[in-house]
Amino acid sequence: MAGLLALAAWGQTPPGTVSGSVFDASNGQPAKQVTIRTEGPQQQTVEVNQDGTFRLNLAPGKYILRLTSPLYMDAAVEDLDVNSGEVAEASTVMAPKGQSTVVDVVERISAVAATAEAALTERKLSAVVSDSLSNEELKSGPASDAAGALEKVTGVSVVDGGYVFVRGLGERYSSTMLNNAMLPTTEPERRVVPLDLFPASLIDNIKVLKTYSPDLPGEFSGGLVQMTTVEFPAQKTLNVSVSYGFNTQTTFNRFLGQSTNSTGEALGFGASARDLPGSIPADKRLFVGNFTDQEFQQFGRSMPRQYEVTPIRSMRPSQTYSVSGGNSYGKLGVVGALTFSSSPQHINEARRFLVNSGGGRPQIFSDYSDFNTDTEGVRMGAVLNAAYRLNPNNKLLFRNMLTRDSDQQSRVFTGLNGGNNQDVRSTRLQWVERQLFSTGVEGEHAVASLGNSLFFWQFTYSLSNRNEPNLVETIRGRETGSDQQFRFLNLPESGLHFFSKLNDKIYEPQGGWSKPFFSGPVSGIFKLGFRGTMRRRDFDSRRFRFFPVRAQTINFDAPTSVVLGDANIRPDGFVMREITRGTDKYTANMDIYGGFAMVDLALGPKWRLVAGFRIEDANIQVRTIDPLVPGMQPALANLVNRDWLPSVNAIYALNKRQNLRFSYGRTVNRPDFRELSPFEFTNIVGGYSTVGNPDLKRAVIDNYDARWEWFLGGNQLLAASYFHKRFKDPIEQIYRPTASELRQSFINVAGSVNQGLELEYRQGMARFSPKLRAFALQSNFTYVDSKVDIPVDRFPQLTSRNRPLVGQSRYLFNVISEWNQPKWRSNARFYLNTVSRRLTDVGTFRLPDVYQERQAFVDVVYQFALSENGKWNMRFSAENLTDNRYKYTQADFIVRDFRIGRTFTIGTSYSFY
Amino acid sequence: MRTRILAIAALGTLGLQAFAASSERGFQFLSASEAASELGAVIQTGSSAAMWVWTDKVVYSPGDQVTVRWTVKPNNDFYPYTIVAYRQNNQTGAKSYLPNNNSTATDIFGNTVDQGFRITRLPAANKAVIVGQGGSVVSSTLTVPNELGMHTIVVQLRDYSGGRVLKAAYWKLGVVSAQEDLPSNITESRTLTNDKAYRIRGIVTVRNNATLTVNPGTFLIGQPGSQPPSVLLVATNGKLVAEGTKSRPIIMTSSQAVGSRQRGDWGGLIMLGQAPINDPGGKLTIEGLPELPETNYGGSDANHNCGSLKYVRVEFAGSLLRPNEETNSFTWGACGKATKAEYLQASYGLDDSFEWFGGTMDAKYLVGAFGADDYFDGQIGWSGRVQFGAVIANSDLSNRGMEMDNYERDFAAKPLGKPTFYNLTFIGNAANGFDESDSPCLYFRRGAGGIYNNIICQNWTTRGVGGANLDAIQPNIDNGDFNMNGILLWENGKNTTPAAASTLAGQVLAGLQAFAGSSRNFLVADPLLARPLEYSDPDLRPAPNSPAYRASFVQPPDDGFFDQSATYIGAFDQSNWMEEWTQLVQEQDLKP
Repeated sequence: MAGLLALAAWGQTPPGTVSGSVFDASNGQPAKQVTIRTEGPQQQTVEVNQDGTFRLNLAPGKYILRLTSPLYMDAAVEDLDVNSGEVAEASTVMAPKGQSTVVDVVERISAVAATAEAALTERKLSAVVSDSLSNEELKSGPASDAAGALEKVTGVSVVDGGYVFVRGLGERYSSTMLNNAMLPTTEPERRVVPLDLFPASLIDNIKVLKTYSPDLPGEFSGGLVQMTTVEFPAQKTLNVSVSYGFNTQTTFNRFLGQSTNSTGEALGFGASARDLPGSIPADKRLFVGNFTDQEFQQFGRSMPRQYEVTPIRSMRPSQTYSVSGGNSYGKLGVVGALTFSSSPQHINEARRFLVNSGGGRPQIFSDYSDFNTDTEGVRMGAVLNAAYRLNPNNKLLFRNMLTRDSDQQSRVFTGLNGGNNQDVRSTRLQWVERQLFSTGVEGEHAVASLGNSLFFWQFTYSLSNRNEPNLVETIRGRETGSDQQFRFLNLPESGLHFFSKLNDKIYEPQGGWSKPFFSGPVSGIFKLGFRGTMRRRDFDSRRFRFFPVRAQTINFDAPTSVVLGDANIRPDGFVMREITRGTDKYTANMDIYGGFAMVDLALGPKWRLVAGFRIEDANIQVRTIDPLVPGMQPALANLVNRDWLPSVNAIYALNKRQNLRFSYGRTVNRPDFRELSPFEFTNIVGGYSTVGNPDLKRAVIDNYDARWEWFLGGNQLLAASYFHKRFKDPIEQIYRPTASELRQSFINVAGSVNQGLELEYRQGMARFSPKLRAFALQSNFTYVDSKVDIPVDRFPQLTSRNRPLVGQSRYLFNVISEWNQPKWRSNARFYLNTVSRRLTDVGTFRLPDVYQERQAFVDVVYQFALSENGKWNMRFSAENLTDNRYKYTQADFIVRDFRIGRTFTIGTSYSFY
Repeated sequence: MRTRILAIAALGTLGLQAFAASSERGFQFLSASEAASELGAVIQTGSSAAMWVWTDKVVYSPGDQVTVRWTVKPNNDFYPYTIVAYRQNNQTGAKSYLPNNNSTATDIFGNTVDQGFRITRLPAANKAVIVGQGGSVVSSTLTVPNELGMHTIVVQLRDYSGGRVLKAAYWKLGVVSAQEDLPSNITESRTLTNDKAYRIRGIVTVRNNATLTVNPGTFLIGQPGSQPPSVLLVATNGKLVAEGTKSRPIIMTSSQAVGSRQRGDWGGLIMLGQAPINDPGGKLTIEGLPELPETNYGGSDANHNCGSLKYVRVEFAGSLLRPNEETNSFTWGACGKATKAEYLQASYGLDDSFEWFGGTMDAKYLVGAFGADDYFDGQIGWSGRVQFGAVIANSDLSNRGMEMDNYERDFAAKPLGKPTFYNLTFIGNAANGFDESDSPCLYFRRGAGGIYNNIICQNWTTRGVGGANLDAIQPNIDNGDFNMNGILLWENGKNTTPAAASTLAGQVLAGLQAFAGSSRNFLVADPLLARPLEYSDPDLRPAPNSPAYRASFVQPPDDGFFDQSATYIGAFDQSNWMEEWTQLVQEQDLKP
């Protein structure tokens, strides 16, 4: 064959060369198992290399490259001119099979075929600005859940463990989709689901969309996090992994546990001993007058009264187990995964609260120098997806995901309480179980007879719930500075039992139709679609408290279990009363019906234009009523809006490797359920109570983006973005005092502006020296400038008249360097992540705002293949090597100060096939 | 027979059973001649005995059956008395004397003056039935007559002549044709008359420039089982005119059975105005209620009129809305100078008895009893005047006699809260601190200002005068915005630090001792009150030789509000302004 070619070369014009790379459209990674067949003067067939590259020597002429793969949808590069002695670039992308947007992407290829000769990552193709994390990146990073992984993405910061801030805009402006469906939340006080609920091993890829296009839900501004669960196997797979983590301040140290602990709880299922006993009536409030003294005594004695922590002398390491596998059976592909992890964390911190004393000088009001929070989190997850390909043009998918998460938290703190000017010791035991289940069916139908139309439909049902049985706190006190024994205190939080349940469901049908068209230099796709999002929530909680009647009949020096023991629960000792409020139960609906029309146009070789509009009708209703209190009138809140949301994205190819993008989109931000209700919503003990504002309007946001990107070949990139967002009537949290506490509420402020810059750089080091071939570097940097003006006349208690948005850092900076040495079967990654100080609490009463100071994290991951074939791997990771100090300051005081320790994890995984 | 009874009486206290078993309805009595000879020349001026009387309910319909009980603790009072008991219709003044419902006076044995009252030593009785099944005065229940309005059951101890009343016990009850639910909004002026009782369920708001007038002798019954709690709320654009009389007080109380009523059975009375507060926002939502337009208070009208309260009792109030937010018995948010408040009693409150959130209103003759938290509490810049206040904490639960703040969130907030108090008597329970470890009689913190003069503090838990954040109070001391004078302290902290109970150092927080020692007339001495620790029938009047009459008092200013003739320390001289209209019996002492 070689001789034949050489002979041919001798006598004829020298051949031209076609080279390029093939990328996975979902994540921009090199595509694997791709076969390229040429059509034209010379027929050839080659396999694409492991790194996604290929090179063909071909006789000059016009060619078509046909790309096929068991993993990807077929693709083609057309109109390829091969000239003698020249190298033609023919990089392209391939859409993974089984991904719902697959055909869409294929059509995009044809639509932008004119520019396909440049190297295309999906990002380059994408109509909107996005950043993504592939499954490989997820696997090779230290993060164990989606929230941790996202911290490394440009412009993304993760707050409170699971809430994503995109470009400095808080959870209010971020939403989350799983497999293209909106997700309900497990948190009654939050809008979005915390992303630490999603184990990394179940996630195939995460995309963060930062600019809007009309096919996305209109409630969008900062970003949309799109997660996709594990994809379909190309072949039989079965992978198991196990890892153990050692935290320097938790593992083998003393830990505050709970005596209810059982095998069930170790697996994340709360003990029935935590539940409200069946003997306490569910259909009647335990109010005075409803029951006799004897009955109240019985109820009180039946209440689970575990008030003390149970110390564990030496805490076990954290552990993670997972197994995933899949196979295809003819037209049916099935993939499933299971994961289980259990991770304890001990945190000891100092907390202070300030007040303005005489002369307006801040001074310490409460000072808890020994504040311990010990949490044992157990997380389980399962995914089961199946795809059935009826024929090449029709496909059905079923996707199911279940995640469960439980936190057993014991909190004990001691210190000066300024409210009653004594030393207190508070013990709080908490158990929270969260669960999210999502199931969906979707179909794709390509109909050639209708001008290659593509129909897409999906129906998803998601249910999230949260159960918090018997949150209980007791407080004991003694005179400040004395070494007396702590005595039980009759403070309102002391002896309080709180039970709550939340159910949040979303039914979401959606569908779309798209049709490609070609007309000379103009080609494109026209798309129509709709999405209905019907959300239903109900929240129910009950509170009980033991009230002392005749104090002299009780010895408050006794241990809490005796103070609130059976002998003291009697009509003249402690009586239990229900203190559930009329607003502790509510139901809410949100119905959003959206339709869109858009066109995706390639205008000659240089321009791509995606433009369209969306119309959304939203109807939000919140109904608060206690059905067990006769004659109560429900409190209703209702917000109805219709919005027209235009959007334009223009992409201009400066040259083969550089793009300029401009986009404009109008989006909305609607108030959440609790923000609208005129009544006061439950405050989880210790937090602010929250009062909604029935007069809230939805905010309208005009988003402008400009971006320049330079694809340096392969996975190499240099990009710079500028964004500018103007908010009309944005909803901001404010605080106002009542007589004895601050209450949180919400208002529409007149307007605010957020703008910023993002820089991103990815580069292999081989460019600088061949010796550095094994090294690659990527880094990103975000600068955000935001300003909110607070109407002084309405909220004079607030100290700052203008300030950045809460939770926002001015700078975010990430560096990830990678070392890859196939010879040694080794791969290492080094992460540096730093975020500048951010405002966490708004200051009131002349006290300055509270800021969390700059944080820096250093993580290292090293992977080593034990077996030659790469089936057996070891993985070591070291997280938080600098043991970042979490420091919060207000005025010159440190008001919170803690560390979480370094974590070292060792794990191994084995692939059977 | 009569001599035999005398012998029995010498045993001192005897159970009622013994009396009931004897003839003559169980009472030991002396002949006039025996008594006169025993008395000799002694002139009796009062009784050391404690006595209270009650019925099984507070509100009745005509035809209902009433059982009357009493408890008598003779407390070594061996004087002979004429005992007279009657029911008085407080509308007509007509009295029906027991046992025979005569309209002219009889003693409890049915003797008229003409027949000669029969005199007797005080029997000891513990929750004994005097009218009702097996009753010692009338052996069948009393049928409620069809006379609507307030009635009083009165038991009088008269001297042997039968002419002079030495001691009396009162029980107020209502006879009503119906119990009416008040609507949740009162938007037009209306009058509540005492021929009905009125239920408060949930928040009943007087608003929209309406005036709610409550006639004397009217019962308002707070209903349990409501969240937000059952309160009578007078919004800033409403007024409450509740002017009772000494014999016909207006009573806002629990719906539960007498004997098992508890703190927090319902919410309480809240009056909101538009006088200034020192929150920078100028407006706040009142403690204990949800944030609604009608729960806001505060403004710039220092003369705002929230209404007029006179002879009003608020009992068993204080529902909890959320941690740290219970409603007080009387809550005043930013009420102004035109508001009137006199002769008010708060008892069995779950939170404070009287709390002022800003404003300028004055008050006189306040009684706080058996509250779980503090009795007088001021914050957010309240600058009113108070004269004559009596506080009795029993051993159930209690916190501080007085707790004064400037503003919790900004100790230096302006305008400074600077109330002026004269003539107060505080009786504590000396029990160990309960919900706060530091429970003195007077507690100043958070930049408090004010003038506190002529005050008796006895039997409080930690000390007489305490506080916190004193560095924020010092500027007020330096410029005269905080001052105290004529403070009589006795046995405060006697159980926690017994040695300190009789020294100034033990009675005043260390940081305030220099202040107390600089000619401000802090005295540590027994005020010699008559019967301060008899919780269900206290007598807080000082003995004639009491240091309360010593010259350390400061004369109240002549500003038209203060009674300048109150030339003594404490709330009382020899007259007891708590007589008749108050109810000071501990609930456990009423449990059948």
